Amino acid sequence: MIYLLPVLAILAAKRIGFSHLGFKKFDSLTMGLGCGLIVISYPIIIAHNMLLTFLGVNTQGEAVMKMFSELKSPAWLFLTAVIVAPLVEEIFFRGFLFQGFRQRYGWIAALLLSSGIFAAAHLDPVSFIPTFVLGAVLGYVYHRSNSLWPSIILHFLNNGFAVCAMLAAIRFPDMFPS
Amino acid sequence: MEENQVEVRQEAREYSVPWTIVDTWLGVVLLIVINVGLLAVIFLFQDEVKRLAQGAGAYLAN
Repeated sequence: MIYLLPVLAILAAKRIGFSHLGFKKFDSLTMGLGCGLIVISYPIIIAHNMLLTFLGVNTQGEAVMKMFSELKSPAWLFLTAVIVAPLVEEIFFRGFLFQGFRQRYGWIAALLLSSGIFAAAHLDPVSFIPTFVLGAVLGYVYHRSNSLWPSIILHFLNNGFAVCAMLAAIRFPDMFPS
Repeated sequence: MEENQVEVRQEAREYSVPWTIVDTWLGVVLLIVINVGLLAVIFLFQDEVKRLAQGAGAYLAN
């Protein structure tokens, strides 16, 4: 939630409405495009994680899984990681940063810049590449739709899938290769 | 080179927003400040943060 502060402060200082961030109607085809791009990006992310595992580097997933297993209930992490984080991050990184950069540097440079900052803001060098790829996909979907909703929904789905997969790995460890 | 610049200028008009590039970079600076602050809180109050998350999780689950 705290990531909303810079956006709120700047928009309030300039007396700009929240609607400029991209809360608009969208073409449902862009959702299909986003789903396709997310599916295409998964092999890159899986290959990246496999390479790290092969090199003996701990991935962010392992750290989050440890945190999950220590919590009495995953409800809080689920609420923050699946509901709040995607909403706040999309408002900040796509609605505010990407749009701000796009009007000055063009969409490709804006995509690279906002995705790089999105990945760096997660403060985990090991997961920089997967987060950058996700940021680029969400940024491109935003660019094509010019609406924040498709990227918010895709971000919800992506994080929800990741959290469910982690919960499954904790509850049913026999189903997953160690 | 000049063609690219014209293209970017056209894009800028097409995707115009009511805040400037300075505001955008200011947002990035504020993000860094927030992240540094969050990291400091997490490092300084590790146990309290964990207890808070567990308490909130238990509250939401009930």
